[in-house]
Amino acid sequence: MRVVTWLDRLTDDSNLWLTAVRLEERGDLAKAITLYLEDATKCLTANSLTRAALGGSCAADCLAKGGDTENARAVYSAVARLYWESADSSIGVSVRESLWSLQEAHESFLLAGERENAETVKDLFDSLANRANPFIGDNDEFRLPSARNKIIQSATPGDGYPDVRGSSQVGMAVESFLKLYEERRPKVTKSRVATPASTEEEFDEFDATSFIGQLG
Amino acid sequence: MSLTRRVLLVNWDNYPNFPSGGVYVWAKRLVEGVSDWDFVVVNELTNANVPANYTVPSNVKEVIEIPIFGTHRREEYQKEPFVRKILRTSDSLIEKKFIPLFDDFVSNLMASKSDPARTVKLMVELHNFLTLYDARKCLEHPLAWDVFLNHIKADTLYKSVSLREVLTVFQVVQRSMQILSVDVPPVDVVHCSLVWLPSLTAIIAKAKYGCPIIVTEHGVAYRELMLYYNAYFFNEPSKIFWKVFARNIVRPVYEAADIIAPVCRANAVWERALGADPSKIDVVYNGIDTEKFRPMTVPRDPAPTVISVARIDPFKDITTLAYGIKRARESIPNIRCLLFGDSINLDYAKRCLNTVKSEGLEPNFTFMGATKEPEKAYNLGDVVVFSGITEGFPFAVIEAMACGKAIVATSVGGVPEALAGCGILVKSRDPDDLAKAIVRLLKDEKARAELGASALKRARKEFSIRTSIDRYRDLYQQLAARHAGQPLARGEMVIAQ
Repeated sequence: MRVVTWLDRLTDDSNLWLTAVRLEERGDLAKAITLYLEDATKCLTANSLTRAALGGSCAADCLAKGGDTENARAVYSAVARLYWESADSSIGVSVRESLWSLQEAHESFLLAGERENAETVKDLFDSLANRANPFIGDNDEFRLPSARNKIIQSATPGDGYPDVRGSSQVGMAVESFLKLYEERRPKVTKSRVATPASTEEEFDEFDATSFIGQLG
Repeated sequence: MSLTRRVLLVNWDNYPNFPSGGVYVWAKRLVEGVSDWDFVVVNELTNANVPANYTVPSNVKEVIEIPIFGTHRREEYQKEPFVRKILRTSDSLIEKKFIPLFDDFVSNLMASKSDPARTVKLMVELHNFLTLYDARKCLEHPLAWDVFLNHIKADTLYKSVSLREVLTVFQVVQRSMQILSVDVPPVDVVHCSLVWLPSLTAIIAKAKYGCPIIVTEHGVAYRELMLYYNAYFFNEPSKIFWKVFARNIVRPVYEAADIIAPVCRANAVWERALGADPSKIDVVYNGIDTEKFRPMTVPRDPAPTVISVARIDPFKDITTLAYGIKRARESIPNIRCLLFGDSINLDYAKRCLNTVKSEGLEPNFTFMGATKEPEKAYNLGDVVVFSGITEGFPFAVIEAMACGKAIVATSVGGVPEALAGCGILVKSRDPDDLAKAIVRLLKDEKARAELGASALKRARKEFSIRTSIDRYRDLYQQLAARHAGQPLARGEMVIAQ
């Protein structure tokens, strides 16, 4: 029996994301977008938020390169929210991962053209980074990356990339991803991320859960 | 009325109740050395059941003990009438006056960017309130817990912190805040032996009487607290809570201090990183009695001998010393190590004993217990070794230098500054590195003699007790002079109630 090595896994077509990377390298943006989004959809179904956001983000980059700015922004917007949710859910486990997710959310909001949300996320990042590192002074500014911003503003079809705007395959993949994202969106509200539990019911739950956790 | 000027010396679990460790030695020598100044000593005590039969010199006019844990009421240990305070502390007053202040204070202590000036203002307002009303009733009121819990709940960072951890934090805050209810007498200078919660007394004294503050940091309390909490808490958000809380306590103290006098430049690096104004920093090295600590001939075993004078404490990393001796024994089979020092950490002491036993080191490694004659202990050895993982400016190192000994020490804190080439520095937690240096010196008599001579010369020139005491006296006079023209120590309230 032939053993499947990591090299085989990297080069065969079983991994959607790696296959998409290869297609993007070859310049086949439409197929790459489809596979990136298929991968993101699968990850989203499995509640693997960071991986879903990563796939979505790669697809949005390709959409931007292929001139489909409108869909690119819509996907970036969904991706930003996924990163934000991921930051929220990982905060109790790894502050570093949470910071990274907020950084990605910030960049994705900028690429989606949602400056207000980008600022909100930046404030959360600043607050968390400041607390995690006691040696940051009051006047230190965090510089979050915004280099990719140039891609979405300057890329037009014909810059060496194929135009993906008319592709029905791409349109369907985007629609399917956004539909799934929207279906689970009520759980991903801004208030869940930014504000505390406030009702008596939630208060009771907080105490009980924490206390039971300690008994075990 | 005595015209002698007064220093308020602020300690934590230290002089005069706990006669152990470098800070105790420092404080004792300070009050005895600066005998032309009077001292009022404030000692915040984590445990109320402390030794009470200490002796102090005649210039220590008062010792104010502030038990934080282990007592029903702090006032029971003092002569303050507190029944009236309790009677006038009604629930409605707590709700209307205390809780909003407490809320603001907690909010400031938990903020990612808190304003030190605002924290100081709130501390003074709380002090003014808690000297009139009963601190215990206020701090133990259910609303105080509600306020604290609401701040924790309002922050997503702390959503996975367990109730037990929140309760621990609240208990520390609640108990430590008692210090704000203490009224200190007017003095000319306040001297804190650390920058942590007990230093709030200094802030209050400065706010009330305008007396200048000098802080001396031996081990940088903030750094040591982080080491402690990192070992104690396993949850990352809890560790962050303590980082933020401790920073928001430490920064107002640096802000209020007129002079920051760390015992070494290594501490100054931490202080600057934590926001202290570099222009306030003035390093004052520890000093020792060079008449007492000197080379002397003592009856000893001729076997190659390594001496260590250290408390049996995880920070002194005695297990690495034991493993280092084990490695060194491979080259020098008759090596012996004599460890002078006691322990208040029974678990760690057991661990060290077990290590020595399980590694078959009993013929080579001896626990000698504490010694009252450390000068003789140093002189028993060919080499003196220090294996600590964190240090300020350790007395033991400069004492061994003054005894003209060849030294091997871990490169931590102010140790490299103390040795400055007059000894061998090794990596901490590295038994191999430690063993190599020990073997090298034990096999090279000439190198031992050269290092010992240069260490002796440096200790006598730089680290005499006289130099150190004179520096502190100068700083006191300098600070007092800044307030010349003001009725020092008899001043009026600087911040109105």
